[in-house]
Amino acid sequence: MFRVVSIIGILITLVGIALHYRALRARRGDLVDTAPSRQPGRGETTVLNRFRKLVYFIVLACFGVLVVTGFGPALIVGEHPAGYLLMLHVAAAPIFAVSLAVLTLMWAYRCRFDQSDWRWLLRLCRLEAGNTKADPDRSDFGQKVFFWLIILFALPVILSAIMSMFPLFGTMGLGFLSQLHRYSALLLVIAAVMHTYQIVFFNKR
Amino acid sequence: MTGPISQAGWVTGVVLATGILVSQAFAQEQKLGDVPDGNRSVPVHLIDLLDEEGSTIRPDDDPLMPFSIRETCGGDCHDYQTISSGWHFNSADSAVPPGFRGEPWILVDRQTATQIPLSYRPWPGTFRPGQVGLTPWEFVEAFGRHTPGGGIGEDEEAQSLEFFQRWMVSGQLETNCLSCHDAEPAHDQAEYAVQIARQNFRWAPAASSGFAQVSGSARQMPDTYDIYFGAVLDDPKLIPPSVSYDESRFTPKGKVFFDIKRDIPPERCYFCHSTKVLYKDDPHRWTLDEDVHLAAGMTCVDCHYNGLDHAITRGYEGEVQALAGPSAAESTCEGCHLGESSATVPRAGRLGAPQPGHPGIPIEHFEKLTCTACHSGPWAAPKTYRVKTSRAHALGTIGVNKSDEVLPHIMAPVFARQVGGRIAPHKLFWPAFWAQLLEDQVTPINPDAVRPLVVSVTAADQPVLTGDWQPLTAEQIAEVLTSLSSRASSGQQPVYIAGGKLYRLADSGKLAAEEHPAARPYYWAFAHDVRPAAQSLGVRGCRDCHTTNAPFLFGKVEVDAPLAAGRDSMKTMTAFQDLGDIYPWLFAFSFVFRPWMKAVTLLSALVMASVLSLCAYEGLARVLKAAAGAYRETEKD
Repeated sequence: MFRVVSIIGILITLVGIALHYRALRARRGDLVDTAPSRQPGRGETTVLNRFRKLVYFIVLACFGVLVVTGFGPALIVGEHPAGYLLMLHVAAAPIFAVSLAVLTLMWAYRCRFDQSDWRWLLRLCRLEAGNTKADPDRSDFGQKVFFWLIILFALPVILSAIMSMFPLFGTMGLGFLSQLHRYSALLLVIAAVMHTYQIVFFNKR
Repeated sequence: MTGPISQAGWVTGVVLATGILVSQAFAQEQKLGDVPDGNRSVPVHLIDLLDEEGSTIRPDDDPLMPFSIRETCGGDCHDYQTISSGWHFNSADSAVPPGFRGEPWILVDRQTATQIPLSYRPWPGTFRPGQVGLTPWEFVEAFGRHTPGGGIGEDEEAQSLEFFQRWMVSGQLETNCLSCHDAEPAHDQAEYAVQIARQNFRWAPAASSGFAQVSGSARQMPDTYDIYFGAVLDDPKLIPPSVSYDESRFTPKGKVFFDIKRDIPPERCYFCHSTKVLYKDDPHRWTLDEDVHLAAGMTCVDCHYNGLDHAITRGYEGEVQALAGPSAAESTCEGCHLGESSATVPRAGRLGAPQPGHPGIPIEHFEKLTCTACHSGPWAAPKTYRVKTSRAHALGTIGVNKSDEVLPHIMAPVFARQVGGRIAPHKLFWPAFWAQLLEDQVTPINPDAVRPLVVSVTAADQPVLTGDWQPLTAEQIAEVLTSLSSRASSGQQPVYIAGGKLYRLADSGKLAAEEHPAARPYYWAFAHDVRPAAQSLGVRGCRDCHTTNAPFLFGKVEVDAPLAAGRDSMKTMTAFQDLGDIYPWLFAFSFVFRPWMKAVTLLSALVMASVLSLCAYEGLARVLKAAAGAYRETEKD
């Protein structure tokens, strides 16, 4: 079941991104100038900014390891990770959790929704009613949304794994936690892919 | 009415006749005692004793015959044929699926340093008795002591003509219902074993019944001995087998009461299914608890049950494939404690089975381990224990060697991967025997054939009181193999197997050891005694198994062999789990950091949750502001 849902979910995400990208290219022709004006820390050369980037890449690297070791067995053979894959998964997980927490602390303030987002959202809503001034691609609204979604989905992913290590839940509870871990991880992957897409294609300067 | 019978009339007549025949046949199969009427009380078995000819026995008969189970129980009341096809009796029936590998019969010969697994069932790793030269007669004589009779003991087609006369003297070893169903306090299964040793097969059930005395020995009788007419015996010390009954047990009508139980008391099962763990500190008997199910008042047959066919459920997972019907699925641990998933009505909790909580045990454990891995057998120690079993060591019989060193040497618990991939506790021993190697196929040599050679080389004609191995040196093995080589057929090479190695003479004439499938240890899963939940592996946390010296993964399994050079060698438990050497250690070592990992990750989650909550609170405040119109006003400002 999870295998099918995962494949469908990931495929829909990728197809959605491809379609969006294609539509965007058709409308603009070039994405280089579509960068939003306010990306956290962009352009700064401080130590903090370097650290922020380092943490971000650690998160990305750990996330990649977790996706491969976690989804690999699930998608390929339909089983839980085991053996060395499981060990790698368990080793990468705490690093991911810590670095994501640090990243949250460093990005959260700049990823807050503010009045400009609200105005942008209102304009976007009016777009279909003939307002062509609001360009949906000229805002970091999407990045913010997916940033918070990543945090939101990461919490059940982390907590379901950790709570199952304490003698609090029986077999039924652990089964539920296992499913919670898998499905919230799937949502986390989708959110992370979307967030990365936003950063890669709308952040270039 | 003399006209021709119509076609319809013929058809009706044939159908009716067929129906009557079928119903009569069905009625014949359904014997008096095989069709319960629903009354749950136990029927009183006050019955006539019948001898093997079907004649009623009276205590003043001359000659006085032993009662026959086939006639007494199977005459009018029970379908003897159907019952005799049950699991305890059908090992030699090739049509019966062998099921999971079980405890074999172990042929032990200390003088030739032999302990070899035998079975009529085609379990991998066992040899058929015929392969080591054991005829059905010799097999029954050697191992009938711990069987409820029947099977090869009364299968005249399987019995060789060579021993025809002896079978006539001893009689057939009939299926002995009393071995299991007799609740008579005086029932003596050890006496049954004595009668088997005396070749008094037809007298054995009576001798064990508690109301008959058997004297004499068929073993001492010549082949010409006739049970009705006797024989002229030259030696007055030779006593022909005879039976006498306790006359007070006969009612005035000549009937005898049998205290028969459908729910077999565990004591009956224990005679053949006991295990003694040889703890080093030799704890007192009262400190050792029995199986938690029996302690709770259950009996063995509450789980290991059967119908009239006596196809008793063994209780292993996957048995349902070998045994038709739902009972096999329900008689596993999961079947009772969790319920069978295919059942149409809830069946969990049968006999008050509690539903396990297993708090904190990751569900992967239930895919990789059997229930018994954590719950059964002695608590795992750094080194496996030696154990003795009823059947392997003739426990419960008279004159048995009670030494802890007596062969065969069986080790437990060995946590090994079984068919199906799960890890379960096993009993294990290392086969040791002389054999001929032909095209990589090993054929054991009958210990009787090799004994003179081995004894002449090792001077092992004096018994070792402990029953332990007669130590062998490499030179002695080489000498025996050299002697055997001179007698071997072309293409055959004599070898000796022991301690997981196959020994043969190299071209240089020296002894060479190598791995060979026939030298692999024989092990079989066990499920009892089940320990209480509070004494199960994992009850103290992950570290019960996940440390770098946990017995479950890194316990030492003794490699037992008569070779003096290899007697102290050990194998690590992981060798039987197909896990390799590095991974289990690394995984276990990672648990050193597990508490830190939990703390750090929980703290990280707490930070993220705090930030998320804070921002969500702030966002909610703005939404409320916007909903109230204040936001738009602010925007205008």
